[in-house]
Amino acid sequence: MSSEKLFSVFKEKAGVMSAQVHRVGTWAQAGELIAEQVKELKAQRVHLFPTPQLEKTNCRATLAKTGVTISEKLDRHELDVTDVGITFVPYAVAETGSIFHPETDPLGRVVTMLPPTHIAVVPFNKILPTVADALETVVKDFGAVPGYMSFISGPSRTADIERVLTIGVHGPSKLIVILVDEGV
Amino acid sequence: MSNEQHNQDFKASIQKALNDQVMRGALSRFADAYPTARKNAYQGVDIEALRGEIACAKAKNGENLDQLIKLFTENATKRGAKVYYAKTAEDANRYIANLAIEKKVKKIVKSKSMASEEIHLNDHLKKAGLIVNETDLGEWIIQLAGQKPSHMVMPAIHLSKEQVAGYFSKELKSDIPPDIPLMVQKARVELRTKFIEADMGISGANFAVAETGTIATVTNEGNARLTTTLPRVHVALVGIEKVIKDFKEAANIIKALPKSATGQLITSYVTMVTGVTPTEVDGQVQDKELHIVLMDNGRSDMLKDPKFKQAWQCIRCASCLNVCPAYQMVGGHVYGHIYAGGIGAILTFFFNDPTDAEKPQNLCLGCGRCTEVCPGKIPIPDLILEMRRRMADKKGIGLIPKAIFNVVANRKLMHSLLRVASVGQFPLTGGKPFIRHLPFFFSELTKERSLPAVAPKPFRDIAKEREKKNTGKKKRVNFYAGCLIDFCYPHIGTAVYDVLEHAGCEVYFPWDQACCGAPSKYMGDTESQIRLVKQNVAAMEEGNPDYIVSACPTCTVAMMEDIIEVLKDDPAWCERAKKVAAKVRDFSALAEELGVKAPGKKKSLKGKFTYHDSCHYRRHLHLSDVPRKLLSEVAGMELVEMKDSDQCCGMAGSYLVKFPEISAPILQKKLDNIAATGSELVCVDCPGCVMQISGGLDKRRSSVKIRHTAEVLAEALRKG
Repeated sequence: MSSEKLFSVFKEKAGVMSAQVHRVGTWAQAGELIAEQVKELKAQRVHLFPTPQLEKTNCRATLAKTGVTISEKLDRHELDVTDVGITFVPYAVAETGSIFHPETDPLGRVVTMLPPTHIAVVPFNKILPTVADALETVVKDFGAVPGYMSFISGPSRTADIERVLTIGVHGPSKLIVILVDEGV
Repeated sequence: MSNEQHNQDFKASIQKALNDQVMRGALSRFADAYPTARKNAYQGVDIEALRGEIACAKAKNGENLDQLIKLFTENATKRGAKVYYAKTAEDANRYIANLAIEKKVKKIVKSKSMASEEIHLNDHLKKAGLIVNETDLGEWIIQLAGQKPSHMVMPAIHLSKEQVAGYFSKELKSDIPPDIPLMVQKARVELRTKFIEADMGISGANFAVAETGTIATVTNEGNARLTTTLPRVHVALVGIEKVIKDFKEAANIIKALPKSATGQLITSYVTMVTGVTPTEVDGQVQDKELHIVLMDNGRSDMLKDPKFKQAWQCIRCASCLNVCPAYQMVGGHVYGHIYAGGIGAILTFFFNDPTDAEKPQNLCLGCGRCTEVCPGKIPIPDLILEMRRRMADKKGIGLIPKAIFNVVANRKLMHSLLRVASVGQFPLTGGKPFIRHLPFFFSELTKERSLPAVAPKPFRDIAKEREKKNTGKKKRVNFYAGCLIDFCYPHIGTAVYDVLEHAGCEVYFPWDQACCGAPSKYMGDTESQIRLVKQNVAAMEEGNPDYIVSACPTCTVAMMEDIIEVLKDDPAWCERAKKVAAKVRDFSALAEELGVKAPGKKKSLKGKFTYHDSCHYRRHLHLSDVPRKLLSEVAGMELVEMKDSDQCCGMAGSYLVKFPEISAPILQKKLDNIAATGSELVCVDCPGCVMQISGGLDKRRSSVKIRHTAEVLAEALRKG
């Protein structure tokens, strides 16, 4: 499947799972878009999980301009009151519209779990066709099975009361995926 | 508790469930939406290939269980996990409670785990002085309500938002309105603190991968992620049936589970934990402790059983409940223990206590809708039957049914009784006039439906008259009438003769034929079944026919499959049975095979019809398309499909004797679906369905007519 085809399937399925999908050309543009989204959300505090890939977006600088408080401290109490968590996520899966997040670092994990919005920056050329492909690729790329891996598809949801779908229970109520064309 | 008391309690629990409008509403809304949601979720997926792969892999995993467990244990241990094998529920409970005490745990958060419900883990932990909070919204509601889950995937589906608001108000000590988004937010805030403060997180697992030592949860709310991330100790309670080989199998389960469970493309989260990972405790990063409790608790007994090992193929998606007509009426709590539905009865039989499964297993209609959707291809109704047979072998089937089957198994006695019954009533058991409505249909069943009277002249008498015209030079068909056509609906038999004679056959009625044995089979009375089957095999050999035809799918299946199965230990009889079975056709299949064609150029019948798929007909004989084609092309009518045409009408053999209170609302649903088509005619291929549906139409004073496909074809050919 061509990368454009993978993208179109991913976008459609991610839409079914209620994720927001954006596509940008460069890492710098991803940084701009992060700041824009944070502004739109009227967020006051954001939490970053710093990785070399995320640094390429220069989002620290773009976010600083918005006046938002930026933290990267591993503190569950602080994370509990943060508005947005921002991470680099190395893969996406077209079949299910998921992002695939192999992450053992405790901060890298909780940043995707505790805040009500999660913004994920994902390389465009890492949209894999299926869940099976993702599991195969991760073992190849990492050399071993990462300690904690998640397929994340849209926001947290429940239908436990009267089968009425409600978005945002224990995890984020919003998942924003930014795909970046420029290679890693 | 006496058996009679047990019976009464069970019946009372059913009545309570049937009266629960909230639950009925929720279950029926879900049941209505589910088939479409499932279909959409599976779009582009080769479901049959996927089911085949899952069933095959799970069965193989069962065969290699010891090796897989060894491999899983090695790999998980290598990654720093502690793996404990719990043979029993007590072992698992003790290990987890002791661990919590040893690790100075005070507060525990749990994500959803049916295995933990199975062993009442919360009670044990509470007794050990620990504070335990369920964090899955449905499970938390159930915990606050002090109830048990009523569905494997949707534990609180039986509660209304008003009821939930009541439990929340009490727990949170404030007045919470029945506003669902608001209640969800309240739960988020309340449980967030508990996640942050917990020392131990207990999760279940949807699968455990042997080759990597990985455990995985497939969830929507995000609570399992917090449970497996924040607390310093993580305990995963995993039933040993969850151990699979590799990531390839894992990908298949991830593909099937959410789609089958709730009709979702995928759940919000699929989380895989491999070994020990770090977490933050009081601002410091430290390695978590991971304990994986592999629990047997009756599972290996199930696996060792030559029949029930098929239940190992279950991936706990509960799609079988989602399509079960009985479950839709009564919900999960009447199934007694933790696991609901047909599969629940089977699991309870092994994981809990066979006596706990005794009553609930009867709720199975045997319609087979579950097997059609099961990702593990488990023949649930067959396993239920096997359970019933074993219970009957052990305890007997009860005096009244036994007396009835003795009569049925004695052809001459039964037939003379039925002849008497057509004139008057025959007092066989305590003066109950049941014989008037055939042996299995007790008289108190006429509340929701009219039952047919025994025909003044049984079909066997009509057949003898018609046989006189036979020349012996054409294809010979032996007609197996079955009880209902012979004694209640002889006109269906006449129609079968008309159509087959039109197609160039001569039809004979072997006089010694008896009941097909299906009722004995479904009650677990193998002894009576064997007597009947031998009698029928001998009868159907008469005249060495080209075909043997039946117009009742239950009888057809009995004559095609059961006669071989039940005689398998008797080689001589089994050989004869196989020869007979090879000639057996259901009426519509034979009509198609013989090339019954439209009589003239003009279509002879006009108007619309709708079609009801009888359970045995659709799921054992796979003939659904044939009558639709015959009725449209030969008879020339226009088909209007009804909603859920494949859903059981509630007749299901003796079901309406055992559970008239469940059978009746199932019938009402069917009648509503028929009415909604606006068609004046409903066609079926099963006289049992004719009886059930016509009785319901009659009680409603509906103008809709029900007819067997044979009757419509005969009329079309006559008019053409």
